[in-house]
Amino acid sequence: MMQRTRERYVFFLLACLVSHISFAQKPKSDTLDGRSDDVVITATRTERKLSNIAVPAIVVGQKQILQSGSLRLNDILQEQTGLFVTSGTGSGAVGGGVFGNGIQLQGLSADYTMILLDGEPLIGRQGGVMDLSRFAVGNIRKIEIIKGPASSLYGSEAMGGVINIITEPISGTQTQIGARYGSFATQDYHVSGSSANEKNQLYYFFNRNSSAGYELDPNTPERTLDPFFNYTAQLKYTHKFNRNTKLTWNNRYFYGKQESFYAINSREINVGGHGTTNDFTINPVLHHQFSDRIKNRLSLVASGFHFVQDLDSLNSKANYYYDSFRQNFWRAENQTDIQLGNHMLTVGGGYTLQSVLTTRYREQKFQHIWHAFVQDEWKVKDNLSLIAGLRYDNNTDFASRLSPKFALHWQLNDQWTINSSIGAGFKAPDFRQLYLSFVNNAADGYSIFGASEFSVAELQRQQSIGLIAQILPAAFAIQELQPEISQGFNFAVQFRPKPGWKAEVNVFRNDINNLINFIPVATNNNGSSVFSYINVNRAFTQGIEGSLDIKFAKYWNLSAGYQFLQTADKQILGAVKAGEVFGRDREGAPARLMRRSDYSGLLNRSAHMANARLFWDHTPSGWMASLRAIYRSRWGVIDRDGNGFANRPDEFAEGMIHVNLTLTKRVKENWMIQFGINNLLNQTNAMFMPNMPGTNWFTTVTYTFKHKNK
Amino acid sequence: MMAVVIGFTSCQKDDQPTPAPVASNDFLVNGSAVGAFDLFGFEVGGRVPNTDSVTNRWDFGMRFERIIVNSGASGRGNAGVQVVNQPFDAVTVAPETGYAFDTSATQLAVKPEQWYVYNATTRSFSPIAGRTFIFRTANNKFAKMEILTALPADDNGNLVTPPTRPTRIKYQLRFAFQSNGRNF
Repeated sequence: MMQRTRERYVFFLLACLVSHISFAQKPKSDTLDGRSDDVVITATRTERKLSNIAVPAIVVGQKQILQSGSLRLNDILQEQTGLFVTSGTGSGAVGGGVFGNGIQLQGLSADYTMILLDGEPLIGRQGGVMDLSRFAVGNIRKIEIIKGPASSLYGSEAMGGVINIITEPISGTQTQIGARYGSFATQDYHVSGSSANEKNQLYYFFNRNSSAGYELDPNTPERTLDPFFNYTAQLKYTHKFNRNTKLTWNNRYFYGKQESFYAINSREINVGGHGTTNDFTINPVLHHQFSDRIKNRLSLVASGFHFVQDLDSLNSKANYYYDSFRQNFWRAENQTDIQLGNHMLTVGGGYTLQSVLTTRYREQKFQHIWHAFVQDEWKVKDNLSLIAGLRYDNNTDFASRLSPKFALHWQLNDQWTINSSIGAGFKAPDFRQLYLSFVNNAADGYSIFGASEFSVAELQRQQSIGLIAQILPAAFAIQELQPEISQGFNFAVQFRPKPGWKAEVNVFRNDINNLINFIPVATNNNGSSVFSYINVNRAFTQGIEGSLDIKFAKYWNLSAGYQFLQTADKQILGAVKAGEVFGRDREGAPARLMRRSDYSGLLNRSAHMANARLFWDHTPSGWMASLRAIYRSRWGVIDRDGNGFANRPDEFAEGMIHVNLTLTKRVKENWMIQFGINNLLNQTNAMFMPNMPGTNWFTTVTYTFKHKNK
Repeated sequence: MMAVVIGFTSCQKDDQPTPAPVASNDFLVNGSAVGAFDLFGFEVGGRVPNTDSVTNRWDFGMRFERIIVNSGASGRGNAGVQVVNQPFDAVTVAPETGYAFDTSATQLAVKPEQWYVYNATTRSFSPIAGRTFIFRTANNKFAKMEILTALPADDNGNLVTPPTRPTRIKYQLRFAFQSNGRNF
């Protein structure tokens, strides 16, 4: 019975692919990650073979996640070529992120990468950053990473790329329990399972993760990472009404609590409390196939995110700091795929309602967004396809946006393939930039107002009653914020000399305009400044990346990746070229003219990043091992001489190399025992890589119970 | 007032080929946003006591990251200043005109963005490399100055790091005073 159900399911999938496969030269026998990860959905919003898509993509399969011993999403993403998990300093296009572990893709910072869960956007960005450690990987079947702008399909945020976390259930009926213990009293427990009959499939996942945190710098009273615990629960239900209609209902809930203690103007901890995160997603999706040529997907999403930080003074017990951020998101979207001869047409549209309420905004804010998109994938010849796409986003609170994309996939022969794409990306002004209404009473009384909260008339009113001393000319330039926009270009050559071998080189360039920054618009009567947001900066990122996958000696698999990256703030670079920018070679040294070679680009970017991963999977004995090394060259972290970039040794963080080792043993069908050591070389940087602990170990035991078919 | 000052300036004799000696000085100033400014005089070559605040002995004053000049709303002198984007050594002559004055307590001659950037991450401010202050002093002489460092310090001038709260800012200044003409 089960077997037949599975066959039907496979047939269902194949039906979606059939038109496509019939045009393909011949089905490719790849890949390294196993056949089940062969399909990529994120690139075109329709299922495509990885070897047949026109944009640079990485697919990280369940097996690789398992072999790497990863627990959270940031663990596995930081081992991928061209991806860097940022932590620490600053925010925005020219910074990293103070809020957790974000991802940097093609040199664009965490704010500019879209993160999807089963194809639907995740919410809960703080300071622009989606904290990846919120996501457990135990329920992930695969992760698709699409590089380069994809706003033509996904809208705002899909500027550097798209990361889609796919949590499909394991087919069959089984139950798995697992436990891990490791350094820093890290504990992780999960129970997951699936149950299926001919019409229904149920998948559940429950996880508890906790750690006592760690200390990288004993000279500071605060711990580098404070103790935390969190729970993740997922319940996914699929019902097949008939051969053509299927409903998937996905629910996810996360609760996390982390201690936070600070030494405020003191050598001892004097302020403490908790940060609490609650987030949930409810996502029903109805798939219907009208005919062999027309299929439809209707998706509804309701999600919420609530973060509260509540700190008290430990001496007086009085409240020291309270911050609450509550975001809600509702979306209805429909997508129809139509096969018309050699054309695969994808048409869709939707409506999004978002609300946000925080202690730093005047009131609850609502955003209404309408969007529509169309994409045509044209099989010009068996080995050549062209893709053109266009998306329109209309928002109530900022200027609307049209995002086109063109892509080409050209299979020269069995071994060589060329992919090229040019596309537009955009990022809507974030909530802060629109709605912030913040007066800092603790400092000198400076204030910041989002563009929607700002008006010259209000400044003039305040000037008339003597609160504002002077309105600066810049105030009159503040207007409706434009989305930050980019044009991205990718050109890739793939070489597959034999099954299991793949080499790829990709050249990319992203030009980003309209970057939003805050500028002073007025001076208060006490001399402090009033700020608001405006589109000013322009930047670019460009580079070349290469990757290599080799399957050798039956049980061995080697993969390696490298990225060379150049970035620049175009205004600063222009001023450097014009000979108007100076710097100091050390603190207190006389100013010296900066040359082009002194300009290191945007902060927080490494020119060189590389990784190498060796996997050994000895099926006869049940032993598996993986050895992974990740390198990044020095990166600018701070500007100490006022020229806006890093140009002297104390403005850079030193390059680092991380080596991780995992050893896994399968016992019979049911048991899996794993032991791992991360950061073998004990390379740490308390200041600029606080998310990277020193050498640490873990051990995991998993038991899987496969139920007999009814 | 402005017209009188500029007119007066243009009557100066200048371009005397006497080189101005370059000096360096640590200047420890009030590290709080309120209270008294610490005063500096180029002719003295260093600190001027606050008891002399109604004289022409001082040319500019500093408190935290704020700079006043001895003119207009801030003092009885004739001091003015302009900030140029040229390294200290490249400034060879002080312009005849273009000096700004403290017209009111909120409209000071020196604007923050002219000479430093504030770093929200480190909560520190960094003097922008290559910005040179050209002063016309309280007594209508000329001086140029570069702020090399601005570092948090305690009352004794020892540098401090968080969590110790600085009570002073230790400025390292490089300057040249020309008592005769506008050439440096």
